[in-house]
Amino acid sequence: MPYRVLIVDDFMMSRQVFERAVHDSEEFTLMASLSTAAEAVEYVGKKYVDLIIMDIVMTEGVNGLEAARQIKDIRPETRILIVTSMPELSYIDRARSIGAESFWYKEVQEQPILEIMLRTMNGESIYPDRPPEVRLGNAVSTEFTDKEAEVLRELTAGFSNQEIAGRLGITERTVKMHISNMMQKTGFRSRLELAVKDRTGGLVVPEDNQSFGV
Amino acid sequence: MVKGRIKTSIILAIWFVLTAIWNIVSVFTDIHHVSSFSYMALALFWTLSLGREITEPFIKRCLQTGGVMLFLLFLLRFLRYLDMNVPVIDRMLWYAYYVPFLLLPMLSFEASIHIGGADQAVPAVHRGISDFLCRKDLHRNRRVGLVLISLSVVFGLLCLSNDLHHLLMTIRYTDTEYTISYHLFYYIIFVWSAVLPIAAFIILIRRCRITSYKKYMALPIVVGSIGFLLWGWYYVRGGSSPRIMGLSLYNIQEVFLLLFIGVWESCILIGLIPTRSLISGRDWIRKTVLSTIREEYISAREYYDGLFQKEEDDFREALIRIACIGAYVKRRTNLELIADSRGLLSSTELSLAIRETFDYHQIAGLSTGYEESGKAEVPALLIIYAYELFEKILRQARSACYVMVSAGQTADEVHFRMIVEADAEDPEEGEGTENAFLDKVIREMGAPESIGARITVREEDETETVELSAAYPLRGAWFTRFEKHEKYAEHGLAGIAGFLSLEGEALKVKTWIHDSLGRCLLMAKRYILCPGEVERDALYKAWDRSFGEIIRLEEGAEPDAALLPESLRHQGQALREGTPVPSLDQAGLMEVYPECYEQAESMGVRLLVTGRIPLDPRYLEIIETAISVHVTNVSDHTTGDEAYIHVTEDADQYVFVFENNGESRSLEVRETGGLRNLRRRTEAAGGSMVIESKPRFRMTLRLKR
Repeated sequence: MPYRVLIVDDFMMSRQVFERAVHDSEEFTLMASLSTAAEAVEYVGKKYVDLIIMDIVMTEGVNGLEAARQIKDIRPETRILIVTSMPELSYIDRARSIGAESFWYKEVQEQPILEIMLRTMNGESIYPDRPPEVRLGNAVSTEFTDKEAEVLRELTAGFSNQEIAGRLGITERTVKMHISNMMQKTGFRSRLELAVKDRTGGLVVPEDNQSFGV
Repeated sequence: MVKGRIKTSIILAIWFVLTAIWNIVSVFTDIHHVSSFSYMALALFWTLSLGREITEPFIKRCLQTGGVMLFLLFLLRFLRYLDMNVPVIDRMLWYAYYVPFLLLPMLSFEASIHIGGADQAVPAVHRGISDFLCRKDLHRNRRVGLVLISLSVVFGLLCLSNDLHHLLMTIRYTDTEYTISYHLFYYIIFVWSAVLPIAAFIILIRRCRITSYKKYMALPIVVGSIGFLLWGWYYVRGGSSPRIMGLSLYNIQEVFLLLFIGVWESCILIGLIPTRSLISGRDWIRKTVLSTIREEYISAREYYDGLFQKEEDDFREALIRIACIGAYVKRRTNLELIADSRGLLSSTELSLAIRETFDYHQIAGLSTGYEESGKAEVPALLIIYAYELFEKILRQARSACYVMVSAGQTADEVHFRMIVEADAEDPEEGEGTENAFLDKVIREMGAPESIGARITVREEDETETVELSAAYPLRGAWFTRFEKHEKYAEHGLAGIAGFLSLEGEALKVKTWIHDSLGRCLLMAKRYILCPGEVERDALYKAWDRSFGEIIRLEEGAEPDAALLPESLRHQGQALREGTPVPSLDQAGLMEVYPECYEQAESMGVRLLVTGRIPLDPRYLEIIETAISVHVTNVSDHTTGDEAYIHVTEDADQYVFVFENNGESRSLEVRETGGLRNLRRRTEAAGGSMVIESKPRFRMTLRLKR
């Protein structure tokens, strides 16, 4: 009996790609293709699916990681394949901690999606070793320390130095130092340029992608 | 004051007064009914004078119909007193009397709620009755109109059929006279004829107050107050003519005439009702765009003068400078055009405005970056304020400017935040503290607190960022912030908002400026980025027809018959008179509108056209916008991947039907952003737009030939 698949992605073209992969395979059958993570949680609450292909960043409502966490609470047996085009540094660890079985970068596509799906259903847990390298100005993503990435995430969310310090439990001076280091590495001339270019590149994505600084 | 209308108003006033005086003194003569004929002629004269004057079609129809009703009223008065000795006819004349008494108040009320354009809608700032009094809402007006007209028809029929039911009155004849006893329906009509004019009057006064005409509003107030006093005096006397020394002063018909023609003529005279006398050439331009972008216009003039005589390098530099200013003017005008009837704008409109502005500044060599997060519907004033603030900071930038915008809605509130940073010149020693920029902004644009926002200047890491933020509770408090809109003028915000009560022609001028500048900007961009694709000659023609025309109008020239919106109708006329309009099939469309196909392709949508798309110059931008909006909607809101456009035409109109091969994702279509913009443009061009969402999405545009 084919595995029942639920696709969750806010971008129609991505959904079409996944739908085509499912239709092309005899091992899978498509249950539904949804555009919001909230709908997915509701759907899974009513119907059983074997595998969910879940995008992370959604334009509306909760993001895919939060939805995956909720789904794991109500249907721990349902396997979740997290997909994203964002090279955000923390996604891999967060997906693992939630219990998502596999993780796949849309842009990189180290292996075909169908292969990842089959291996996931066969009990494997497939995760990339690291996020793809992303260039940010003169620097690449691997040049940033974990703390710098944390500060950058808060900066990209629009917080002031004082607010960042409060949120991360460090001093304002330390925040300034990290920002200054990142500006030196990237060659950017201002903190807002750093934040804007990062948002464009997706190296770090604010916790709530819906709004910043609120 | 509308200078072109003063003479007519004086004639009407003198005419009315003389007739009223004659009405009083005619008791001493054997010449009766002259006053009735005089009033009939006055009503007719006034009705005819409105024909070419009033530009807003619905208001014109209401007022002209009211003029005809007044003519009828005095005609019936004359006929009633002819004493025909035929009871049935006598009774029918009595009953018919109540038809104008029903319709005049209704027409006055209908006209009053149509005062004001969407650009007057500071919208969503009021609630309930207050909102109804202050704000024009076309959807609401349609519903109200339907109810009032239905009631008028029913009441009118009841009046005329009184012999069957006697709900209105009973007329008893004796040998020498008759007596009338009034019943329930009479009192219903009495209340109707009292409440509606009073409500109309209040609405007129409220809408006067939130426009630039408030300094003249004493005129309609005085005229209306006199009318209502006379009306009250009449009914205090038990419904009979007031007398002084035995002389009958007036009848209720004169009061109706004063309340209708007197008050509405006053409103026309002070400019509350858009008229052709009010709007002409230079006034159009001054009152529409230039009132809000005066500084930018002057800067643009400096670059434009002698532009096309410059050497190539200087020409390109000046061209991009003027394009940067033009982009601001175009986007600023667009923000005013597309504010909806509730006065809300989506934050994505700000994003589009900033992105386009940045496009041109990037060509000028500025390093820019923009990111947004979330979206929400917020007050249009906030969006315009944010865009103005962004522009002010951008102008100070030496080499870089970055912006982040965030908007969203929770269960309790709507929030908005914009952060802007530019590498501006350091302030000179001794001047410019962290508040210097803020002081300048408040001086020029008004305090952000007036619109429920605040500005924070943050100095961090050797850069300075300016943040504009606002949060509006969804219920209660946010509406009260905008209760006293007239305060904006005191805070100087009326300047940056540029909200005018002019509609109709002024709206078309703004639309024309926006569209024609848009074409010029695209051509300028292509000229600079794709050398050889655009000839300097073609560029000159486009800019001369747009910005050049604005300059000529500002300097006092009369509108060029080939260029301005009013004359675009004449152009349409010329097209109807035998000149065939070229049209495009699918292949032609791909050549002329390649951007539409590129957009569709990038969204995974196939664009298919049946029929031929007319190249009517009045509608080119509308058609392009409609295609773009349709493709976007198919991609984002349906399961389809094919966007269909069916074009047909008949003797009077072009009909465009937009459909797709998928199902709608939501049950109801909400008109935001692109659809709203499209509707405004279509209706400003005299066309119509209908959207159906069930069973499938379908959008139908009708544009007059």
